[in-house]
Amino acid sequence: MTCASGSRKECATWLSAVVLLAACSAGCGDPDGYSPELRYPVRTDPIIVKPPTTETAVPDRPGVLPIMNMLALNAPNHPLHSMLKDGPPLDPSVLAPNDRAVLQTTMDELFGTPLVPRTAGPDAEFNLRLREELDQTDAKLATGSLLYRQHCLHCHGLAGDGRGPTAFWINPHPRDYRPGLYKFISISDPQGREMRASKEDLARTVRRGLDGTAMPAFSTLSDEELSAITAYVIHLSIRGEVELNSMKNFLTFPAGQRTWDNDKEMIQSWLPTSGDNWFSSQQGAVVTPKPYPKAYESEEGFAQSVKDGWDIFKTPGDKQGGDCLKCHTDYGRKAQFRYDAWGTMVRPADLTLGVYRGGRRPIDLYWRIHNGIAGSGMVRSPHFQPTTKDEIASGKDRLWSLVNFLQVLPYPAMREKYGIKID
Amino acid sequence: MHKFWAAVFGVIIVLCIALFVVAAFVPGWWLPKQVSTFGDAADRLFYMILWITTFFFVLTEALLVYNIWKFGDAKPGYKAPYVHGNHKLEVIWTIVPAGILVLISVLQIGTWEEIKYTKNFPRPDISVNQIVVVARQWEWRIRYPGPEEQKRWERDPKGPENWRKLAEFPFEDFGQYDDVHDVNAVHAWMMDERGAGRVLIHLKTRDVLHSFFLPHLRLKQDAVPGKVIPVWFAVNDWNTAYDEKSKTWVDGFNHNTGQFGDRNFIWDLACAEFCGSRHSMMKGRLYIHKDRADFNKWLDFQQKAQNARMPAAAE
Ligand code: HEC
Ligand code: HEC
Ligand SMILES: [Cu+2]
Repeated sequence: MTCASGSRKECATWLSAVVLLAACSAGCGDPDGYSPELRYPVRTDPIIVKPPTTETAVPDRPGVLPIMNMLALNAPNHPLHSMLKDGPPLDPSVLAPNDRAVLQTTMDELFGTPLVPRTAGPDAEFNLRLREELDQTDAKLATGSLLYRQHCLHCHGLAGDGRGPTAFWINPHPRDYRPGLYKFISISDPQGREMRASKEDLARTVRRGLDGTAMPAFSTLSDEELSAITAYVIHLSIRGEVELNSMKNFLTFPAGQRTWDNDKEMIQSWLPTSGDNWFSSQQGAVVTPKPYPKAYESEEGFAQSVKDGWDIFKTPGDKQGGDCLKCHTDYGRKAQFRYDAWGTMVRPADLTLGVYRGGRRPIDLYWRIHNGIAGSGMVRSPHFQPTTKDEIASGKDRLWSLVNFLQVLPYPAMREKYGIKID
Repeated sequence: MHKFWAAVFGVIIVLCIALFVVAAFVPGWWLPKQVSTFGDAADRLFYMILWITTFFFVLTEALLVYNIWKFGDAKPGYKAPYVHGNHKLEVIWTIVPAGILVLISVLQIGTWEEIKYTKNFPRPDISVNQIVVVARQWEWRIRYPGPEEQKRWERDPKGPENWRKLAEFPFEDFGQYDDVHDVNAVHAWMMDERGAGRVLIHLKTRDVLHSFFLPHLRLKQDAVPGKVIPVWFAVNDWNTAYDEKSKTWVDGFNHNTGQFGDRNFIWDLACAEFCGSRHSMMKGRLYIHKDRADFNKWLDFQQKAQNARMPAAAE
C-alpha cells in the first residue's frame, strides 16, 4: 500500500483529497445558515437629516452610494453645502467607543442575532401585539432570516441597510429599511402622519417585484415563506429605527449634556415608539377608494374622464390642478434626478412607458396618487376625491379621472382615440 | 505498486458507470418528464450521443487501466523507449471520430430544423398562443394579448400578425392597453387534435444575455440584447387546474390522479445563461391548461385582477 511503502508525499496527497471531499460533502449538507457568533453590526454610515434639494440630469455613478459621500457636504466650500438648512449629515463613525458598546449590547438584547432574531418588547402585552399583529414570532423570524439570507441579503444587506454587495451597482438602490419608510403602500393617515407599511404591502412588493427596478418578483415562494420574509423585514425595520433614533440622540447630545440618565433605557424606549408606528400601519389603515363613478363605465363617460384627468394633470397647483408636470416634466420624459429621503437619487417616473414600480392595477395608481410616494417627494393628494356635496352630486371623481388618464397615456393608439396630444 | 493504481482507476470507472445506471432508476436523478411535441426527438439524439460517448469512454478507460496494469512495473534501471508515433493509427483515430461527428451533425438536422427554423414556426393566427417574454435581472416579465384583443381577432384575421409586429417593433415597447401582464409564469394550453395551441414566444431581454430554458420541453433559447427572438413549442400534456383552496390556478396537478402537488407536474422555467448574482434564482413556472377554454378562464381571471379597483379583490 502507498503509505506502508513509505512514500509520504503520495500518502499526504491522498489524505488531503479524502479530507477535502469529506469537507465538501459536509458543506453541501449544511443548510447555509449564520454562525452563532455573528451579530448585527452597529451602523457606521452617515445619517441624512434632510437630503439636499438639487436636481441633476444624470443619476449617481454606478459603484457608489451617494449617501456614503454625504459627509463631504459638511465642508463649507462644497457646492451643495448651502443646501443643508436642516442640519448636516450625522456621522455615526465618530460615536464614542463606550456609547457604541452600550448600543451594541442593548440592541443585541432587544433583537437577537441573525441566527436567532427576535423582537423583545418591554412587556407581555406589547410582545403579544408584536406576535399577533406583526408576526414577530421566534419561529417566523428564524425562517425569515434564512430566506432573507438566501434571497435578499446581497441587495438589502445584513441589517437591512440597503448596502449589500450588489446595492452599489444598481439604480435605484435597494431600500434601506432602517428609516421605516416604504414607497408603495396602501395605507395613509388622514392627518398626513408618516406611515410604515402594511404586511400585505410588503408581501405584495416581494411577490410581484417592483417592475422597472432591480427588485425582482419572488412569485415562486409559498405564502408561508412570504409571510416569514415579511415578518423579518419588519423586524429589521424596527431594529433599524430603534438604532437610528438612539444614534441620533447619542450624536446630537454629547456626553455631559444628555437629557436621559440611563443609556440603556433610552435605547429601549424607542422600541415601543417604533412598534406603535407599525401597529397603526396595519389593515385598519388601508385606503379604500371612493366607488368608481357609474358615469365612467360608459364609453363617453370614460372618454370624458380621461380628458378631465389630463386637465388636472396639466393644471398648476394654484389653479386647483394636480401640478403633476412640475415634477413629471414632459410627462416624465424629461424629468430630472433629485435626492430622496434615503440619500439616494430618484426621478419622477416617465409616465409614457406604462411601467409602474408599485403595480399597474388601477388600485395601485389610485394609492400612489392618494397616498403619495413616501421618501420620493411625491406628496399625497387625497383632496382629489369628491368630498363636498357639489362634487359628489356632479358624479365625477378627479382621482379616478387621473387614474384613467394615466392608464391611457402610454399607448399611442389610445392617445389618438381620446385626443390626447403630448408632443 | 502500479497495479494498485490500475486497480484504483478501474474501480473508480466501474463505480462511475454504476452510478450512471443507478441514476436512471432514482426519481429526480435522470432527465425530467418530457411533454413537448419535439422533446422525444431531442431525447433520441441525447441517447444516441450518450451511447456513442459511453462506448468510447469505456474503451479508452479500459485501455488505460490495462496498460497501467500490464506495463507499469518496470525493472530498476529500465529506460522507456521513445515512440515517435504511428502514422496509420493517428489517421484512424482522427478519421473515425470525425466521421462520427459528421454523422451526428447530419442526424440532428431534422430535429434542429423542426425546433429552430423559422419556416416551421407557427404563423400568427387565432389558433396560436402568442406571448411576449421579457427577461431581465432576475425575473421573467410576461405579456399576453388580452381577452378583448383576442375577440377582435375573430373579426380581423390580420389582428394576430399586427400584434406580433407590435411586439417586435419598437423594441422598447411595453405592450398594448388591454394586454395581460404576469411575472415568472408562462401559461399556455395543451395542443388540441387540430393543432390549435401552438405557442409562439417573442423573446427579449431588457439588460444582459439570458437564456429561456424549459427543461421539461427540452427547449432552450438565448435572449440577446436588442433582438426579438421567436421561440415556439407545443405541449402534449397538462399540469394546472383551478384550485378551490387557493382560489387561483395551481400547477403540479396530476390529471391521472386528480391530485395537486405532484413533482412530475411542476414544470420549471429557468435561466440558462449566467446573468449575474441571482442567476440561479431566476426561475419561473410553466402552466399548461387542459384546453383553450380553461386558459381563457385564467386569462379573464388574470385580467380582472389586473383591473382591480378595490383592495379586497386585489390581494
Ligand atoms: C437585485 C436586488 C434586490 C433583491 C435581490 C431584492 N431587492 Fe428589494 N428592492 C430592490 C430595489 C432596487 C428596491 C428599491 C426600488 C425603489 O426604490 O423604487 C427594493 C425595494 C424593496 C422594498 C421596499 C418597497 C417599498 O414599498 O418601498 C422591500 C420591502 C423589499 N425590497 C424587500 C425585498 C425582499 C424581502 C427581498 C428578498 C426576498 C428583496 N427585496 C430582494 C432590490 C432588490
Ligand atoms: C414633487 C414632485 C412630484 C409631483 C408634484 C408628482 N409626482 Fe408623481 N412621482 C414623483 C417621483 C419622484 C416619482 C418616482 C417615485 C419612485 O419611483 O420612486 C413619481 C412617480 C409617479 C408615478 C409612478 C408610480 C409607480 O408605481 O412607479 C405615478 C403614477 C405618478 N408619480 C403620478 C403622479 C400624478 C398623477 C401626479 C399629479 C397629481 C404626480 N405624480 C405629481 C414626483 C412627483
Ligand atoms: Cu438570466
